Amino acid sequence: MCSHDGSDDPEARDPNRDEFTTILSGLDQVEPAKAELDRLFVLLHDELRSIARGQLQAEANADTLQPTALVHEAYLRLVHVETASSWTRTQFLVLAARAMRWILVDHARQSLAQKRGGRRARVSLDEASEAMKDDAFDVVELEDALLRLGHLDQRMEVVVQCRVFAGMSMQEIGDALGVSRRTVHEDWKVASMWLARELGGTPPAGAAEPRKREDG
Amino acid sequence: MAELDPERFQRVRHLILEIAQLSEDEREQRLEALALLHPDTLNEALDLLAHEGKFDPRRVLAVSARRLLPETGIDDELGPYKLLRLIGEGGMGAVYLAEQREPIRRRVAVKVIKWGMDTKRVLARFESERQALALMDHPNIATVLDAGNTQAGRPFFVMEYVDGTPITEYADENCLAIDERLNLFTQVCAGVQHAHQKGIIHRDLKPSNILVALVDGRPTPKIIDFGVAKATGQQLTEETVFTELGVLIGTPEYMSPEQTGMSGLDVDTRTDVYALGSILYEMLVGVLPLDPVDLRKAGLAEIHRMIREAQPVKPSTRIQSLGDSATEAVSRRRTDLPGLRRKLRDDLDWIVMKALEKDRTRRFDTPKDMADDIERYLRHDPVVARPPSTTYLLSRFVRRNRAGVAVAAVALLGIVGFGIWQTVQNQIIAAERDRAMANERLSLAREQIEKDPTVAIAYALSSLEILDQGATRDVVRRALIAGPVRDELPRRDGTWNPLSVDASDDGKMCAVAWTGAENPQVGIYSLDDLSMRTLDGTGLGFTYTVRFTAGSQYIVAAATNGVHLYRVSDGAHLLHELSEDSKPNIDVLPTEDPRRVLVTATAGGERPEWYALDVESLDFTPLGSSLGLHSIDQRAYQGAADGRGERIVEYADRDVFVQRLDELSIGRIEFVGRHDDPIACVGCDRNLERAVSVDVGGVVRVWDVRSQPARLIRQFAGDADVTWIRVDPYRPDVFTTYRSGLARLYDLSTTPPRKGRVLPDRSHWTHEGTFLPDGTLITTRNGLVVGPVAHWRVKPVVDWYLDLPDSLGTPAQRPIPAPDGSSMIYWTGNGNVVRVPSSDPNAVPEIIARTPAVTGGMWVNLKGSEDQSRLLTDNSGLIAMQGAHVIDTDSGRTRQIDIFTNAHVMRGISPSGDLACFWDVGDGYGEDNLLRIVDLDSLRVVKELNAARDDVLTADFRKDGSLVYLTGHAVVRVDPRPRQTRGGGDPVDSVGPEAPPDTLWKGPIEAGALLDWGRKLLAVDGEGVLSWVDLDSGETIPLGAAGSGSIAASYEPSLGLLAVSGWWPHFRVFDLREGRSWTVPIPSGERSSVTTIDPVGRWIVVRSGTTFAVRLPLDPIFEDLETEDFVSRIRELTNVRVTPDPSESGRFTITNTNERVE
Repeated sequence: MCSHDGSDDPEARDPNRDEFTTILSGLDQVEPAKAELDRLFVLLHDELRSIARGQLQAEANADTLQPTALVHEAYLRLVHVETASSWTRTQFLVLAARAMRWILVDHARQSLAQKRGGRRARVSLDEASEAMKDDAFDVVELEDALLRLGHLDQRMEVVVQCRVFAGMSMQEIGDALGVSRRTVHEDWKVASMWLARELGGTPPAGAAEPRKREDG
Repeated sequence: MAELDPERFQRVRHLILEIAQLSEDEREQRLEALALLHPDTLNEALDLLAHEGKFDPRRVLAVSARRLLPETGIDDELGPYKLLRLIGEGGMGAVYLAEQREPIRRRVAVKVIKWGMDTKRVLARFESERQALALMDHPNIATVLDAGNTQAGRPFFVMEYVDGTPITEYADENCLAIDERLNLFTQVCAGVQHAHQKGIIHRDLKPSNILVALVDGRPTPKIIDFGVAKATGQQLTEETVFTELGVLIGTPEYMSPEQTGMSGLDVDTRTDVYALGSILYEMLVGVLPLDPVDLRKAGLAEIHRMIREAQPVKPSTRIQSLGDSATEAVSRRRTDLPGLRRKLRDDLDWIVMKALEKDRTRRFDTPKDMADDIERYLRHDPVVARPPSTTYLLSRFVRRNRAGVAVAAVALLGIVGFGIWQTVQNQIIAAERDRAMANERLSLAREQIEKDPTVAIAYALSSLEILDQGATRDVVRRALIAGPVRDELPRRDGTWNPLSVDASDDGKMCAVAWTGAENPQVGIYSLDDLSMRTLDGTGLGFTYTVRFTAGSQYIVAAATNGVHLYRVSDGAHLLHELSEDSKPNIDVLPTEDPRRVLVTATAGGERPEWYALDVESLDFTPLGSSLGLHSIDQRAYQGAADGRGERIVEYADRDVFVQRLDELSIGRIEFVGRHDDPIACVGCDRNLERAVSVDVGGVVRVWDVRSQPARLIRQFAGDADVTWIRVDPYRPDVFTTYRSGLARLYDLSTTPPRKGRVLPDRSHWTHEGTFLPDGTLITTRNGLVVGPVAHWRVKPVVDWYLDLPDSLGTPAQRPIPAPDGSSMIYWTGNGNVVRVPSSDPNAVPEIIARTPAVTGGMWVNLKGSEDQSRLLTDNSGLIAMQGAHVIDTDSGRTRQIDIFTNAHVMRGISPSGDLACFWDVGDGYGEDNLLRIVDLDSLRVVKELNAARDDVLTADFRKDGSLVYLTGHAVVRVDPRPRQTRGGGDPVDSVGPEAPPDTLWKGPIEAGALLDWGRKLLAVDGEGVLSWVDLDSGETIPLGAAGSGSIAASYEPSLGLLAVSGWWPHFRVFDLREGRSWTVPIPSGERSSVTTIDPVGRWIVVRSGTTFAVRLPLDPIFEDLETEDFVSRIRELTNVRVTPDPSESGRFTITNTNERVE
């Protein structure tokens, strides 16, 4: 789909919108069929990029975006908001979180690959890749940590995914996963501590002291 | 710690949740028990708990639209070139390995220039040099073969493909000795010389453009990108230097002073000589002549200035100041530090420094001259770059003829005069030493900027006489705007976490209660010398609150075993009350009466009991119990009392109320108000005029409790999980909230209220804090066991966030001020049009109209007629493709304009509010040039204006009802009103006389803004230089370079203030009346975007990222940077004279008048 470059009137976008809304409304589980999921992914992926591009062209000052903002914008564009149920919205966000995560990680991995490739055969690189490296690396690090978290507790991984990549509220995540809001809260609390540690937060001074005292 | 598996992780999870529920006190107490119960998981849980609240992936995940873009417009095939793979991406664009198929088959590198560069111009520039480029034929130059543009219009260059490594990297990886490096470098000079002879200047020489590849087994440097820099007109601009995230990506390190575009000189061959000097410097020393860390910290103007002014340190001195990193550099040059220094000293120093002369007439004229000198050095011949000196010539002579010169040298020395020789030598050594010391002090100053600006300034100024003023001034300036700055008070052995802190009335002492290794302790710091004495801790329980009494003669402490009273002068323990009481939660609230202290004690679930303590007579009188039945039990009492000790503010569950202490017995309360969520804590000022309450969700409410019923005067989203509030006793408008990990300052003295600075504390929990009379703040910082006391030298004057009730929605796009400054209006993402009064501190924002909550809330534009009686909003984001809304502000009536089939950008609304102007975006690339005028009463297009072959950059109405629009070449005035039409037919068919378009101004521009109802033009030329044009008088005021690219600006005619933002991590403010200007950094370092100036000059709105940032009031901006305050602050800190620099607005000359500066 190539909206936002001339075919940006509502007519041109509606078929996708319809399709999207239809597929979404038909879903009744968190894990939809692979084919449907793939189709949604494609739509969503294109749409997210199209939004990015649209904003770039619409305003030369395309500001830094949070993925969550992009996802919400995509929702407004892809779904008939007027008729969509809150369940549809939740479904959408769960999917979008996955798509967004995939897109960002993919992008980061690509930059890292370029960076590595570039070391062997570099043709006039500016230092841009240096500057981008860190962020790309961080994203990949986050992704690796998320995967490890998933091995420890799969639901926590999904909670973090929904929260971080689609900005879903605790209630929405709870609805989507069929658990209480409180459980989501707790999952998020523990998962975020774990991630903070995995991603290299330095523990405060003296963190290990209680143990020492007990031992002593 | 054992490896985590899912099962163990679940147990850790449970434990964490259990511990997290405990209060701090309980946590302390429970740890031992938990250690027994969960020996295998406790450590893991504690370790994880230490990371609570620290996961914030937002920065990592922030993406720019640009980065999410697919590589559109790049085809696999560009003419005869088939792109094989991406081999690099940079500030200019992407580089691909490609295969050329005709006329010959070979591998080439294709560099596709990024968007935003003018293709036609780039190619024209390239064409002009193509002939010359074709003439180049040199083994050290990679030939540029071709150029063209992609289908999407991006220029690309085709170059000989070099599979090599940047020269500096190559030299280091292969551990080349200095002489080997020099040999490699002279080949580079030869290549550049060849190009110069063909009339080509490279302009962008840097290590990444000089690749070393093996040719016939010999390392051969190849210079790439000849012709590219010129064609792309690469200048040291914001565009080339910063990414959209404000990250420096360009390479200003190698740019010559004349390339900063300030000297008015074009580049010439000596520009390349300068770059060669930088490269040689780096190859020899391992670092760049100008500290890239400094450069990268600086803004563009600062970078320009440093390149023009900052004098590099010569290589032999620099290598010595490198510290540890020198070791690596030295070993990669196969020598040792003294050896390398000796090697670099004199000849190589001189050669490098001559190439790096700021004044190009003093550099080597050609690369060949430079290479020749290097070869002279290699042969031990006297180098040309030397300073004239007989002793030097002599020393070279000696080196060349070591054996036979001894006698002759003695004789010669006799002639020259040994005394003179020694004096000269000593002077040189002394100057050298001074300079090294000054440099050292300056680097110390840089280190101290964040830690202690005062020290930084002192260090910096002490190096002022010896070093370049620019570098020193820069440090001083940065030190002055640095913040928040924190000192840690020295921690005493045996103390663990400081819990409570209070300052004496004069701000000279602070009392701290610690947990301790042996006993809990209460101590007093002297803030003058940071010395600390502890009070007698015998019999003291676990102490969680310490307070000075009024007058600071006594300290009262609330502990688990009761209330304790100490005398400050001798530390005597005077009283211990409530010792038998089983009520664990005690709080002490001193009053303004030096003798009277309120004490409250609460047992879980019971009402707080109140007592009055007379610190002179030691009378301890029960007052009765209040109604504060707190839902969050297991906590110390969390109410607050007024200064006279007459009234208290309390909460019970969701309700806030006030109670008179003398009415405790009759149980009368004044209900103040209610929160949606349970209240976490409350606070009040000393007169109990205002009470502040925060609920567990972080909603902060400020109540006017002077009269009954109390009024809600402020509400905004604060931090959740707040544990405590402290109102500044010296400024009732300022208060702080505390929660683990941060304290946040609020200032309510202005409207809208300022949500102040966050004092982040990543490695500790912030427990409690106290204000000092100078406006700074002291907090206790807790680790799991130990933590320091921090002194934050920050005043709550700066703010960036406009907090508005969440219920109304978040502002989207810029608020527009009413003409009289009494209010501003903004549109929220959920469709509300909100008016915020900005003069009455008690006024509450109101919704004046509603539009549908539509797509893309982030990009809605709002514009108003002159009297704001009618507003116009494009409601689907910037592009009004689904129609805009006309809002009558008086009636609140909203109507939709839904007549476009194409994307349109709203440009303006006429002063009278009857017409609006839209720009047809057409295909989305902005190639179209149609303006459509819509009658806002009939909602019909009444006129189309064609800007004839020229892109319309912007348009606006003038107050006389005419419309002006700006193209890349002119400002044109037209009549937007419909012509007489035949029977109201299609306007395009209309007939009748029409005034011809009136050109108000002519001249090519890159970007611009029409301001002041189309009477003023802010133009940005191709070099990024701003000009301010009065379109009526034609008067033009140059405003200097700001950086190229698009801008957003706001102008307030009544004040003569102009605010400009763009692709920069700062915005600029020009006082056009006084001829002053300021550069205001965005604290987050993000790019600023839209600005609005309040007509009465109290605030400027700047959007940074997706955040609405409001800087209030205007004065502090200036206070940060200059004005009297700035000046007096420097004076106070040091004995220096600060005078505005007449040659450059916004700068100061700092003259050191202090004789004693060390």
